[in-house]
Amino acid sequence: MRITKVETVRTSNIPRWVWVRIHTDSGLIGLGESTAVSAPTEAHIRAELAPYLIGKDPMQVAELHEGMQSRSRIGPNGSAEWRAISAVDIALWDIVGQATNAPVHQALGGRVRDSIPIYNTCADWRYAVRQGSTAFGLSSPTDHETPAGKYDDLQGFLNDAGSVAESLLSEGVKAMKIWPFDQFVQKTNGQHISAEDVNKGMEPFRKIRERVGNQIEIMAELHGMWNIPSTVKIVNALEEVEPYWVEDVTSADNVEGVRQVQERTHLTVLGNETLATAEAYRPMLSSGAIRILMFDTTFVGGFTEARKVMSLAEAHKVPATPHDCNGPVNLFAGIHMCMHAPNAFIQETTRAFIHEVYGRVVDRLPRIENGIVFAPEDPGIGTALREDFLADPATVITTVQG
Amino acid sequence: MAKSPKITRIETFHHGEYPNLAFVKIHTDDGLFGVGETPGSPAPVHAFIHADAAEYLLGKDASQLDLHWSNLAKMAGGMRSRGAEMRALSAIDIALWDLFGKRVGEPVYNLLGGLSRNKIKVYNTCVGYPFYMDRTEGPKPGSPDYVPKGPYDDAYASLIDPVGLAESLHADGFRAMKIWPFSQFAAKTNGQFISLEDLEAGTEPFRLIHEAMGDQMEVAVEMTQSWNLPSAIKIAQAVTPFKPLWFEDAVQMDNLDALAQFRTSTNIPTIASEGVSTRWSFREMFVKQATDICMFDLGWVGGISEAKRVATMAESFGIPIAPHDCVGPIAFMAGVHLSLNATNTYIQETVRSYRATWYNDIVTALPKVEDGFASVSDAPGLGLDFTEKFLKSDLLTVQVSEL
Repeated sequence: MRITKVETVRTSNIPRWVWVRIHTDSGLIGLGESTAVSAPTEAHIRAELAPYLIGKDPMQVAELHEGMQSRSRIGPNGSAEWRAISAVDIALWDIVGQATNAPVHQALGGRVRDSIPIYNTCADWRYAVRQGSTAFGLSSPTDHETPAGKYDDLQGFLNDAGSVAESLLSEGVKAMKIWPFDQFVQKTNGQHISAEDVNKGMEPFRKIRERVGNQIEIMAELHGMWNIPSTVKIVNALEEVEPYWVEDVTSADNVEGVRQVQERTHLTVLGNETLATAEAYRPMLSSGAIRILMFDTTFVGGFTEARKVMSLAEAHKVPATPHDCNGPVNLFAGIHMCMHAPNAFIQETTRAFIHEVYGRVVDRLPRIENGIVFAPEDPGIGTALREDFLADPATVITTVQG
Repeated sequence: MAKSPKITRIETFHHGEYPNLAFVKIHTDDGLFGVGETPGSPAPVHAFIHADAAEYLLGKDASQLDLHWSNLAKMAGGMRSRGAEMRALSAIDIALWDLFGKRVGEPVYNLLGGLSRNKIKVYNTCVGYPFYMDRTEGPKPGSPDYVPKGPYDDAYASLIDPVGLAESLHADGFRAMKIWPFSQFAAKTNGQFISLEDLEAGTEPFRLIHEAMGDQMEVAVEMTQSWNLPSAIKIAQAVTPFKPLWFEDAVQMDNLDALAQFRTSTNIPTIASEGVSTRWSFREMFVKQATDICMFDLGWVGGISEAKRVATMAESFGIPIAPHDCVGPIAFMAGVHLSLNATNTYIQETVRSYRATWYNDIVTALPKVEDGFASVSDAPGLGLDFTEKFLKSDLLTVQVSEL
């Protein structure tokens, strides 16, 4: 089998998402994805990766992963190049799975489980558009142009967190992630938080506990935006409501700083989906900076690298959990990793994205029932871009072929 | 009253003759402009500048360098990134410093804190004429079919006539040079193993030069991050009798513990690394005592701002700096400004074959290199501009974002 054509796909509706479709002379098409700052990701795929890939055997993923790295001149940290490699690697594994009639988790070495609990990240679907903004997506001046839809979990957790918790419990979802402290970051660029703002940020957590008690787990997300004294102040306050974990307590660029925060709380510090490669996670694990590891298959280097990261975490006896709140392919990728890796325990989902956006982009969604997601059974990644999405005027497809 | 020049226009240039360089020119509403540059694949750099960075920068006050650095780095998804976003940010930062200098009528070295010396010792990196990341087909230096491209085809000379090369450099005033004869063997095993035969062949140029010239020429061993730790240690042990200047990029920079192990295996200085970006990565390297000398490339580390911050941090660890050159004329000029300013500069890199040829085709001024030392003029900013030849070339592609 040979790669004949590489397409990148973007939509003006959500500029932060990019897909890659790898075509082969066998007729199989592999689908990959990445998110965040996507123009340079797409440019790297087109200018550097596609010319290298065309004519190659897509089944030799390990060789192609090495070859793409050597054409990218990058180190172990998040970048457009790693996002591009991630997208392509996912597409290659999709081809491997389809060619061998195996879901990706089977192709990776098989499954340790056939379902896993999910939690809900409390965003609204427009968060996918706003995420890169300096306000970190809490609101945007253009919000009034597009309705939030049925699941406005973001305004929900900011204003009426108890009701969001109840709504999730009614769907069988027993864990939720919120980030109320983000609204105070901009005042000082994360350099200082007042006691008053800490208290205000605690309100949603308290409302959840008041309404539903301990029926639901809460994940506290800090987005790595606070310096160490500020984040310690927040973490101290959070101890009152026993969140399941505290995520991205300070910038992952400062591993030693993350470790210092973990050292000073009994709560579990989790980090950090922005990293790429197992090498970047190694100091986080060996220093004890994090007690749960999070990765994003579309940032870290695709399945090839995600598998290494999960194994490295396992060797450190650290559980690992895939990031979602990105695109639909990333969610499938995370689920496949959860089925395959022994140290997975929960999968992130964003119900607003699944119900308002994912279904318009891909032809199949993962099976989620009563707070549990089940192993995808179709060969490969188990989903593909919809024909009507590809034909939509807002969709831009760029092709590189031999 | 403070000047608050507004950024009005951002141009990027891609030139067919230099396919691995991205150039940027930033204009402000006071009629001034600044220039910057970064190496590596330019397509994603240009895409980031026009699709993402421009939206942030246009209309902003050009004098807020630190704030813009910090905000653009956050957009890059991690401040230790050394991908396209950090390269774009580096080029933008260099251009903003050039603008700053022109605005106040001072050379960049003065804005950094003034001269610590009037001239800085340089060493020559022995690369040939074509761009280092040459993608053209045909025989490469080292292959029997290769035809030298001129008197300074130094990569070729380093393999077939190392003593002749060293003598020629000595006549040009150089007392230090850098070569990488081991790298030709790395591909055989992807750097996982070096045979005794290859070890001996790679060591030969160092032996010959040392025996011919003694203390008149110090030779740096560039290992190009090509080897695993045991192979790197074998190479270091083999070259040590010939008193090399340093061992550079002995292992890959994604495992600084391995680099620290390499460093303690030898009493010749370890230097790292042009492949590392930002203060966060260098801090880890310094804390782990993984290097003796700090090298960075201004077009990649995060521009002049970040290079200055890394240099100052290095000083607090007792570590000197040695700015990289081998990529492009603007980053070279910026590097020499910093080399002249920093109190802890060890030596500055230069490439005579580039200075003699294509660097001049791109920019109107270069640092002066004489008797083995480099200096710059007192022209405002970086004191250079793109040449007419460059700007009028048919091979030039210009992209513009403006208010």
